[in-house]
Amino acid sequence: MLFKNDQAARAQHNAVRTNIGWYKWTHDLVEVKGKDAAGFLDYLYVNAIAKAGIGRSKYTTMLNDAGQIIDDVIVTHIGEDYYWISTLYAPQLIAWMDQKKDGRDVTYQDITSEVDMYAVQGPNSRALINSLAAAPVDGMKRFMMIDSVIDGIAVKVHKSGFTGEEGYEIYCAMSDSGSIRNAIVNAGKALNAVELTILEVYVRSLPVEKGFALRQDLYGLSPYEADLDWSVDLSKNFAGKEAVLRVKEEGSQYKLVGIEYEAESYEDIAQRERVYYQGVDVGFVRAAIYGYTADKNIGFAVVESSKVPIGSKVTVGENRSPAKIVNRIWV
Amino acid sequence: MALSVDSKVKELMKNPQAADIMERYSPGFKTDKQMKLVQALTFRALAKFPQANISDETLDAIDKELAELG
Amino acid sequence: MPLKDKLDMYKGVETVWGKIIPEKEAYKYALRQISSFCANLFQVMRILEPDYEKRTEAICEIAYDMNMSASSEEYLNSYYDEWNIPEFCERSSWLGAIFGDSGDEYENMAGRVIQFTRDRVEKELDTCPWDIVGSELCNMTTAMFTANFDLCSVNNTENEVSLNMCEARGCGDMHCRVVAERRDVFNLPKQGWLDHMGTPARECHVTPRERMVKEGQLLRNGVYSNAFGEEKTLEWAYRWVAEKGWVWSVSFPLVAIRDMASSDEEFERIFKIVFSTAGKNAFIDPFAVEGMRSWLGVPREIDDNDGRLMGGYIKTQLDTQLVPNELVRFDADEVRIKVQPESFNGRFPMAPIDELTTGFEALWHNMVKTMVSPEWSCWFEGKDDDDMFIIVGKKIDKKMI
Repeated sequence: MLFKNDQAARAQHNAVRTNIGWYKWTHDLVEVKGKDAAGFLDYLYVNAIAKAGIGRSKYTTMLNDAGQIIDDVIVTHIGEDYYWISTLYAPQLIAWMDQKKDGRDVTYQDITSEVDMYAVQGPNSRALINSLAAAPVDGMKRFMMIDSVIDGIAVKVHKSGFTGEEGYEIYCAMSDSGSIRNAIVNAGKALNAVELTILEVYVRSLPVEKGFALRQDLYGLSPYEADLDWSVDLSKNFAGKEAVLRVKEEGSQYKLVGIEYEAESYEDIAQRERVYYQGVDVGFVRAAIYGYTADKNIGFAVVESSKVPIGSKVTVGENRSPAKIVNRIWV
Repeated sequence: MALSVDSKVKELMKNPQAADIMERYSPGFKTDKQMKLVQALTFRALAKFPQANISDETLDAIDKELAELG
Repeated sequence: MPLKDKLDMYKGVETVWGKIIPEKEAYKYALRQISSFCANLFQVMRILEPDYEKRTEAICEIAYDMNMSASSEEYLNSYYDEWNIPEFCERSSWLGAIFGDSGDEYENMAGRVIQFTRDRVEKELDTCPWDIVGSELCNMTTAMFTANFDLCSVNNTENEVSLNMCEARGCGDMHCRVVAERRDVFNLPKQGWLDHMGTPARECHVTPRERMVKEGQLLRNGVYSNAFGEEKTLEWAYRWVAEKGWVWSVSFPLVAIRDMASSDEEFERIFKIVFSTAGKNAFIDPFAVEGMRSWLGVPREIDDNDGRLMGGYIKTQLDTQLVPNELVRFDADEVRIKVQPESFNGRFPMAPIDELTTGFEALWHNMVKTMVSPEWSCWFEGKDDDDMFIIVGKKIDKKMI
């Protein structure tokens, strides 16, 4: 949990918002290759993967046959018939791919143990990367990946991140991880870059303020219930399309919304804590964390949106902790 | 009462000759503290668990030797 | 809109008289039954070993050893996969906290993980069904947590963390609190078994009473969610507890406690006395039987000297503990319930506890004296057979105890 008076967490959080914060953060990585790689990924995911050029990435969700989100990932087009999928759950993804492969000319494997990644985030992160990497990153667009070199070591630099600030992800071979870390530490000194060590700061506090959800927040919802309509390419076929179209047409009871907890802290609120409106159960919590820029206890909830529109006063949990339904972005 | 693989582990542990036989076929029988956790199982029941690593042939051989104790 | 076709279905235990005990209530009751058995066992321990330090060390050492042995690499890897612990997550000591957190919640130890960093983990509890057992058990759990952390240790070394249960409800505190701090980071010494109830290096966060919870996530929300979003249902956890709750709180300390006695006979003699005492005192209060009658839905036609009161109670006990059983006879002369020793004693199949038969026989035989009348007794037949019978019947014994 994070609390208002946690000065260490606040300092790390603020470093990302105002300057530079960096941390080692390897998602799982699955490498996909083959003639049918683009088509396969286009089928697995709702977004237009096949339209991403080499060196470009797309954020997308993956649905089960009932049209429910079972993963959210970044897919990067690395080279000809060659993609990376950045997910938190490679074993589950591979099992799903096995089910859906259907004879396509494609291979895939979990390369998480071979590749490490450092996230460098914050308004001054560009300066740090430029001081580190051979190839300047000034012209990079978000979700663009380039090859570069740091201290003679081949790396990939991806303009992306989970903090909502300008940021970059440095991918390197696992064997070079120590050297890359040292390079970041040394280059970061001049810019007062801070290493983030508190998991909940970079996994929850920073992203939640910007409305960034984890898979576990989205799990079981349709993209339309999670405000991810923009990511769904209905011009192509994809797994779960038929079911999700029904949700789009018929509408849905539930929505992933923002929630602000008004008590001083949220010790009595766990994931899946019930949300009540006028004493009646209307949904459940998905996240609760302290946001040091918003300076509030904030989070996400899945609620019956017709009963509790934005602005509704609700209570949470057995202690009936007061809260408010809000838009899913604070900063 | 005659001992066999259908005797409980604790009964086999209490009889020094039986315990020696068991130790030969299942090293650690006399000393492994986990044996006290499973002591209410018959040895045959214990052997069914893969962790016990006791084949049917071994079980039969143990049973034969225990029977010879009388 | 037309009427519903029928009532909605909910899970529960049906008593012999048709009263439904809801699943949540049955689950809580089952937990308390396990902890009550544990509490009685610990009284046996205190008789056999009067020295607090000696008996606490003995059960700590056994609990540590058993926990270490029980967890192979295969078990750990399947745990990581089942629990969705992402591969990015450094599999070092502090992951031991995840084991501990899930186990707590399965057993309705309500609380929260206050801090979860590479260097420090703090877990706080507001409730614990085992809070009636005593501080030796609280100390014993620190030995088990030590095993959890040692198992996850990245260097395969022991004691990378300093572990302190600095507060315990069993000791009268408002919360239970376990704090694990990396020894190398906080410059902390290695700990012996009795050193785990000390003060951590860093200040703790104490949840105020107004934000404490009375029940764990499973009862509050129907599911337990871990930090990575994996969920377990109440139904799943109920089954888990019906097995594993006996292992750590009864099987593990039993290994040490048996050895405290000078002989098997002495152990059994004292064991039976303790459980007999517990049973005889369970229903002496004037409101006790009336409360039970209400809870089980006993009709007034069953008068106060009817053995079926005890029989119905036992059947509900078995049902809430998920022990398969069959009512063979249930009339004014006798109650006969068939069980299998394999499941009655073998709640966790690999580690059956014969003392469950010994303990419950002593408990219920004495309980029926005050719940019903001394004309009634309770005994088990066929203890070494495939089928065992729990009998409530009238007996005359000139040396009745």
